[in-house]
Amino acid sequence: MLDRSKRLLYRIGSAVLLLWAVAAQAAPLDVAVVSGGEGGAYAEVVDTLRAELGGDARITEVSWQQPDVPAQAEVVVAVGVKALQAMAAGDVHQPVLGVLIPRSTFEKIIRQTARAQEGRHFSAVYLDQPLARQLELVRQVLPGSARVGALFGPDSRQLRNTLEAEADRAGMKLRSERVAVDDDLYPALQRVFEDSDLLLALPDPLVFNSNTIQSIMLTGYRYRLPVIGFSVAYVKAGALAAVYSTPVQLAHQAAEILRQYRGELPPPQYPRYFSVNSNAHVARSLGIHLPDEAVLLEKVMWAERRP
Amino acid sequence: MQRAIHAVARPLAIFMFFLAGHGRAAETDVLSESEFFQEMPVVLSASRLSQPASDSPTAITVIDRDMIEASGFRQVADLFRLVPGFNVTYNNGHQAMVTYHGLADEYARRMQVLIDGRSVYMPPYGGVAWEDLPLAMEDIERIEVIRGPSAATHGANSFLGVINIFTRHPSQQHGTYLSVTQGGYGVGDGLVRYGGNSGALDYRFTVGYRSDYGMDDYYQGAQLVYDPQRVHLFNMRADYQINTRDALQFSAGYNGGLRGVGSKHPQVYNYFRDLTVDAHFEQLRWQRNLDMGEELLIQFYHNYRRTHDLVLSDPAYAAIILGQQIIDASDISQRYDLEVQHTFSLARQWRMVWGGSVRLDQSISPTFFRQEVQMHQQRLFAHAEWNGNGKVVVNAGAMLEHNDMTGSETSPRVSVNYHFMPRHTLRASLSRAYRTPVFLEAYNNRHFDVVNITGRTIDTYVPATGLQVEEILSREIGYVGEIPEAKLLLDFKVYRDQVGRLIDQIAVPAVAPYSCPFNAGGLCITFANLDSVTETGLEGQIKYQPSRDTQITANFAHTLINGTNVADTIAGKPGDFRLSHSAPVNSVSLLAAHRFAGGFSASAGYYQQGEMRWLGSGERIDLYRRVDLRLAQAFGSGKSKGELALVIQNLFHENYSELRQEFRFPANSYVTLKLEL
Repeated sequence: MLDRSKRLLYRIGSAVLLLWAVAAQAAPLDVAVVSGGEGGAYAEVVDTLRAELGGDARITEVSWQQPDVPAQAEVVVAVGVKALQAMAAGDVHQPVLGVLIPRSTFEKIIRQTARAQEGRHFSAVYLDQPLARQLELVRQVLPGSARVGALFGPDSRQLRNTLEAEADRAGMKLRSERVAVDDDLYPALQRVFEDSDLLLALPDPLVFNSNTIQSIMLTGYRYRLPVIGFSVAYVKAGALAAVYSTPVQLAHQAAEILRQYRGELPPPQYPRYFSVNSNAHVARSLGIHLPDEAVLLEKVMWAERRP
Repeated sequence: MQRAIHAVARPLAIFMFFLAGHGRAAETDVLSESEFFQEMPVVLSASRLSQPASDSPTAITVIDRDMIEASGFRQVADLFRLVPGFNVTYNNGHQAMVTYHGLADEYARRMQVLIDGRSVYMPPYGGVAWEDLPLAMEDIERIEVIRGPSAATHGANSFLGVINIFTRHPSQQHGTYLSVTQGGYGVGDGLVRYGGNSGALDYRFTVGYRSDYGMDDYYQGAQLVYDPQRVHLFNMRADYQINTRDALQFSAGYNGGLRGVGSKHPQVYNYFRDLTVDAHFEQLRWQRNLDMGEELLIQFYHNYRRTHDLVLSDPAYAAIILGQQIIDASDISQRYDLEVQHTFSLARQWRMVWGGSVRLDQSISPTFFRQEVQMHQQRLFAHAEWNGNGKVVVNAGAMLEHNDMTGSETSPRVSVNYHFMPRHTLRASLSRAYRTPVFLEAYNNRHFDVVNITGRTIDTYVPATGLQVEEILSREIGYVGEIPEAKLLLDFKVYRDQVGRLIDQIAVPAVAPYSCPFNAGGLCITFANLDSVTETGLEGQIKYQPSRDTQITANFAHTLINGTNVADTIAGKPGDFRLSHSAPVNSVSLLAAHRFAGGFSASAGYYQQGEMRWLGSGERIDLYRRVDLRLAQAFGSGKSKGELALVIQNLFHENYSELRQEFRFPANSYVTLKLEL
């Protein structure tokens, strides 16, 4: 008898618990998305978040210019540098997940705001690819290349030591030059191409912009050496290949993080999902035999799964 | 004339500077996401990328900047000594003659020559006045030489071959560049170039001067030749990237100055005199790059060349025509050309280029033509490339050409490249091409009006009647290979070219209103389709590049020409068929270059040409061997650097003859100082 009533009580209790748990789980996560711009990549990120989170989240969109984050929001997604800067500067108490943020920029923003924002948590899905992944692409498209050329400007120079170490680990040597002003570019380019097997482009507006791209691609072509880019636009312009993540891929990763969200964001992370793009015309003209993009992607992914 | 340059160039420059007024967007202090999503202009577009030799429908030889530097040559034409099957000579110290597989006189008429897509062979003569090109060696990026007919992709006159010169993009030439050369035989050259940019506009201006006394003018103690040159050169190019899709390129240039000409050779009597040249061009190209390698190109250009030359008539005629006559041998020639070209991919494995052009060639020459002569020409072309699984590449194309001199012709070409092993390719190619007669062949009426006998005209040449196009049927089998382990690049071809209806001179009886009293037998000279030849041969290039600092290029050619020459038969001197000797049976060239540590570099060129005889005023020239040496020391680094170079041409002082016995090419040396600031 007692046993039965105990059992019943236990059953009711567990049913209530279960119901409560289900109810708690079903309560959608309140997400504020601060967009750092309109249309294009920003819209793709927001649309993907909406589509992937579906009923799991209630999304409120906020403009970076008037970043009034609703009080009930549990977590903030900052899309783009301007949005993250606004969040860092503003009076926001929720954890902030940055998307479309280059790593160096993320670290700079955090450094500048660390003291003022104590106790708050910032994280990000970086926009740039880990250097090891870029070097793996180099290995796949240009097997046997031992000398990686790079140009560092004010926004990329902090990557120099990391790249050198990563190149070392990949069995390559780094041959790099620093560019401080516009005028340095051409001589620096020549020195790098004289002494390397390719040029790895790293984002830095002083070195790589739509005006310098002519000089960079043409110089490389003259030396019959390829440029490895960091976006589809570079491949179109004449780079041999690039590994990059699309806004949809980055948003997909952000959606995964939000789905797992239990009051705390994971540490900032590099893109898990990425694409490879290559320029068959350039490869042919340089006499380089390139595998299909799908094969290249598979190989780069496989390399990362190795211990 | 200079006013004409200003009329075009200045407003354009102002227009482009205005367009370029907007600079870059303001920089933020941190790297933003826009760097990753920013659109970029297509730099390595279809027309900038060269088709790899292994996929090309015809044999291709590339002369790059390194080879240009290492050769030590001062004149563009000399570079073609480094191409298998090519021969180079000089009619005097400056007038270069360049041909592929012989069949050339002073005007090598059977080749197309393009500079940045602009055709520069001269309407009246067909040849290229290499020394009059508004082009500085320092501005050349690379030269692609297509060894074989290529009308389908390179247009009219791409008969025996095509020389395709690409100048450097101004974005590669920012800053100030100075070069001074001093040497023997009056060699004194100077060049200043300034390049810069303003936003999306890159530009360069080059001003140059080239001078020398020419060849060793003394032969057996007497001055037989007079051939100094003083070349003034101006060249500019501006490239403006309008947006990520559209780019505009404007180029213009001027070449002028004195050229000494004259020979006391008894058979080609020619007074020592200075003629002056004014040549200029203007070219505008608009290029739109769309997705998937699609590209639209529209270009317009204008070439102009005027020579001013007064000649005295042969003293032998003086008694008959009461004293010597001054003959005005000046001429003006111009070309206007508008071209559209569209490149696209039909599917992954297909690439197509098609387009069309209209052209007007004009020439005025008081001694050669009675009135201005001109020709309108239209052409349509299409070329497709099919790339099957990386194993087989098929190229097929044709050009339809119509002109108001000889009517319409279709020049087709088809080739199959089979990559039988990775990096090893066999190529079989079949092509047919035509050559339209040049004005000098069709309308030549060389004459002079005897000043002191009214109404009296002495003709030497009379216009041709019923002149037809020349034709070539070319078959070639080629091999292109790469052996990375041995650092070797190989290129061989065997060929059989049937060239028919070759135009040659013939003497005919005078028909009213013409009279040729000073010609032998009173016969007038005219042009007709007289000869046909079959050329067979084997040629190739071996490139050895053990490191980036060392490069050795070896070329060889074995050429046999057989056929009949109707003119010689008519003239009663059969047997020695001149066309057969218009190319050497064997020729070899070699260029070895090495860069040592510490900025020192050395290179040596070896050029050997077998016995041959150029057409026109050419004489039998014995086999010669020539060795050139270049030593250079670079100094400075970064933005300010320079180089001091010593070039010795014909090191072993083997005075060989160019074109004719009395044109002796001496040993010479010069020193060049280059500074980049």
